[in-house]
Amino acid sequence: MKKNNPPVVMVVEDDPGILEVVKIILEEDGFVVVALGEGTEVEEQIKTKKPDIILIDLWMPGADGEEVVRKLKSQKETKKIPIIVISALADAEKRAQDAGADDFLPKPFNIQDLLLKVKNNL
Amino acid sequence: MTLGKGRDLSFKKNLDRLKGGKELYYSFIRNFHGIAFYGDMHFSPLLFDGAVRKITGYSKREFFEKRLTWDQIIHPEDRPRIYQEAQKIKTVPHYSAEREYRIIQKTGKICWVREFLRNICNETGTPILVSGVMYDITRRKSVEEERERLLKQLEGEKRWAEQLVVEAEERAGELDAVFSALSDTLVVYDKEGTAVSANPATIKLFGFNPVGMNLQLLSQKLTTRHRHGDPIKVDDLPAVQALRGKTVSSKYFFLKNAAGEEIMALGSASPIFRRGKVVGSVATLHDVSESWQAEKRKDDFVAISGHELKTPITTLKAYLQILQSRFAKIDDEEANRYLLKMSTQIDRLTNLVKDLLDVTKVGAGKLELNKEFFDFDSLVDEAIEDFQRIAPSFKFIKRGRIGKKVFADKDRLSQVLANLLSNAVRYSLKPDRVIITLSQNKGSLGVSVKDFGVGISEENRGKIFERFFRVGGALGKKFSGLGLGLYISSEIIKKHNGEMEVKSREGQGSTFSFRIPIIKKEKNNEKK
Repeated sequence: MKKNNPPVVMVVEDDPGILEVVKIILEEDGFVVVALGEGTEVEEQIKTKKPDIILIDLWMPGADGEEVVRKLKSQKETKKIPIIVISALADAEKRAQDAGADDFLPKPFNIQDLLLKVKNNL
Repeated sequence: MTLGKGRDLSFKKNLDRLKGGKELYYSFIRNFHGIAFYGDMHFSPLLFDGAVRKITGYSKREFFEKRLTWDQIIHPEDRPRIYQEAQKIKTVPHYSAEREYRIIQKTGKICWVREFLRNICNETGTPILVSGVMYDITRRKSVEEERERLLKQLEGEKRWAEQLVVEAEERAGELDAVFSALSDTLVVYDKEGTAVSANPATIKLFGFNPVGMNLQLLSQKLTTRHRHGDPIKVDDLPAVQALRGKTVSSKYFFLKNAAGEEIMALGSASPIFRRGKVVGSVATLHDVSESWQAEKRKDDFVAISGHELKTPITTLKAYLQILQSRFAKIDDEEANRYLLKMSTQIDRLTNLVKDLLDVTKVGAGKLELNKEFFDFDSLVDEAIEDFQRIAPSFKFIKRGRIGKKVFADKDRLSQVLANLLSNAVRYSLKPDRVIITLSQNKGSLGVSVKDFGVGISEENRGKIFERFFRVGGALGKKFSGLGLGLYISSEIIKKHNGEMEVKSREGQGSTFSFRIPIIKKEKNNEKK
């Protein structure tokens, strides 16, 4: 898949506070950020924005984050896009793994860890 | 019998005169088992024949030679009444008597006799002699006495039995009341496992009357399941185990009543013994659905709260780190210091939230370990490094090493180490040493963390691993926290099949140690 330059990171997170700070962190590091407040918009936005990597929360109103990950990983067009799950849930890591995510970042996180994981998974 | 006037009272002669009577008499007397006698009014025997020696122990000759009078051998207790009657015999003409009394034989043995006698009067009607027979009735008497004794005993036992019946009825009445009033279910099963009686609470909970059904059918009808959801094998039901003589207490399980409602119950059962054999069992169920649901709600609440709390913390931490990097660039020392303090507090907050979440997991039995092979020594080194940075004035000393890879939950053990090290620092009044010792012994590894801080009093030492336990008093206020750390740590160690313990002296310091079995590195990586 053709990679964008600079890389495009799609962030799906229902909490506006976290969404905003993650956008700031990534943009400061040189990434282009597509920020989505809920999971229902994901599929649409993937088609138009063509992200290189997706950061997604599990617990969101509307579309369940886990379901979204599963779906993306099962569809031919989207399964190659690396997905990092960011979640505060206790058993999130396992759930992320089961859903097919490529990596996991617990909340709260260190900025360094966030940036590292994004770079590693691209 | 009156005698002729003026005749010589020679009785033997008189008897002899009886034609052919002598032989008859003697043959009779030889076979007579009693005593035939003639005597005077003062108990002197004048004529005496029959089983004299047999009954009295004395021979006839002895009687006469020793001049024994009959009253001398009468039992002292019976003498008064014999004497009393003797008055009548002496005075009342043609008096006859039939009585029983005891005599004391020559050997001292007591013999009961039954005596028939009558007085013989002279021509003026004055009694002058007695004549009679007596028999040994000792055996009969003893039988009679025995019978009396038995009757009395029987009477006593009858009263006692009546008393028991009264008590049993009262007891039965009490049990009946308990049976009916009990809010827990109570079912009695016979030894085949068929319900023979059930109290009202059972019918209410089940939604039907189980009497007549056997345990197999009942467990199907009630869809009995274990706490974790698997169906319970009939053999595992407390009531069935009780039929094998085992007493089962407090086993949790789920069941569905007739209305299809899910109920969580705490069950117990006991065998019923009769003469050492099991003849049935009694089983009870205590409905804990409410408390279980309440616990579930609480667990859900805590899980959600945890998630909700972590969200703003995430944002705070992220902005803080952005600021830290900005201020580090402009080298504002004071600002950096303040930001570091903020960072510490946020980490502390994060840990508190994590502890809360862990505690609910542990409480629900849901603490899962993710085991992997890792270098334990490195883990310990890392932990010490972290703490040396956080508490630079303390001296962390490491002794010993494990030297091999360990199969365990790396993150959780790291959590335990962090907990112990942080306690060591926290509960020291001034910066001091903290000695971490690693050891190996018989297939398990041991870690101990020794501090020279305030120590733990004897009364608190036993409670230190309890959930929510915090040291009280002035010391408690000084050291904050939720009191969850050691509880969680000890549960983590337990989950690893290990043990955790503490040795401490108040005012001198504490040594917390744990040991966990090391699983040898094997080719199969099954998660335990």
